[in-house]
Amino acid sequence: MGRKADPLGDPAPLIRRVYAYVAYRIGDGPEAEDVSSEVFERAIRYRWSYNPDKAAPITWLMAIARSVLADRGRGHASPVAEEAIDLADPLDVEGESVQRLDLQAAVAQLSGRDRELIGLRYGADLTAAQIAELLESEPHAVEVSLSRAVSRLRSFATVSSDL
Amino acid sequence: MRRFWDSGQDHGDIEVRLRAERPGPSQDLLDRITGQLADDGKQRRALSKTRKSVAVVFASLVLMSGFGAAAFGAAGGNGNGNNGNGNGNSGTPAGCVEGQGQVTLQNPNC
Repeated sequence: MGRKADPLGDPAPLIRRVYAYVAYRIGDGPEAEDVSSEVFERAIRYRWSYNPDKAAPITWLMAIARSVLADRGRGHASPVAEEAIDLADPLDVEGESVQRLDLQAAVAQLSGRDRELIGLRYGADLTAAQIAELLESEPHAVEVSLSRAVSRLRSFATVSSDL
Repeated sequence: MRRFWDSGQDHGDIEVRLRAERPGPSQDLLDRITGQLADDGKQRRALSKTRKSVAVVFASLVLMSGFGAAAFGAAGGNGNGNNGNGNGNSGTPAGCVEGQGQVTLQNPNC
């Protein structure tokens, strides 16, 4: 019988991916750090029950992260991110022809479902197949939903130009 | 109106930016979690060693009791002898008297 696989053997890239997902979901900051910390506490607890035949370590961690967020009742836009939008006043920046809105603040304006998809794809770097597995969906449906989420992100992320 | 990703200087797509500018954890969080993982690994290894030691001791006890039972049987056991028919003529230790299909207990090894 072989030794059990350790899903947390190379933790640093996993921590970064989990954090990025959480931050896209609830906003960058202390709460995202708390949630990420809790994700890894749970992961450590269930570390040796991980089955590599069922899922990749990052998919397994994402399932834990989703569970932690659900337990905390998080799924709405972060007030911190909304604050960041208010601060991004085009007139405040001299010499700039185009004011770029903060990307994360734009993400925060999306619906919970869109942020979920954006977080899984661009934060956690999951493939459409892995996202589909996690959301119990089909990869094609995930691709379509992601494409729509990105389109909505584009529509939120409009800025004024002084041209 | 311009989109924020379309600044005129940078033609990168929004998807590239979503990846490139994804939020990162603080060094403190990275250190804390990797520290917890390392501690857990050490505890597991220590626990594993303890379990192995307990298993070895238990296996030794089982083996020893097996040998003890065999020796007890070889020594005449509970009076029926090691051949089970009461003759007890093989392996009966000195001090045990045989007769009438039974071995009389004369010493503690009988």
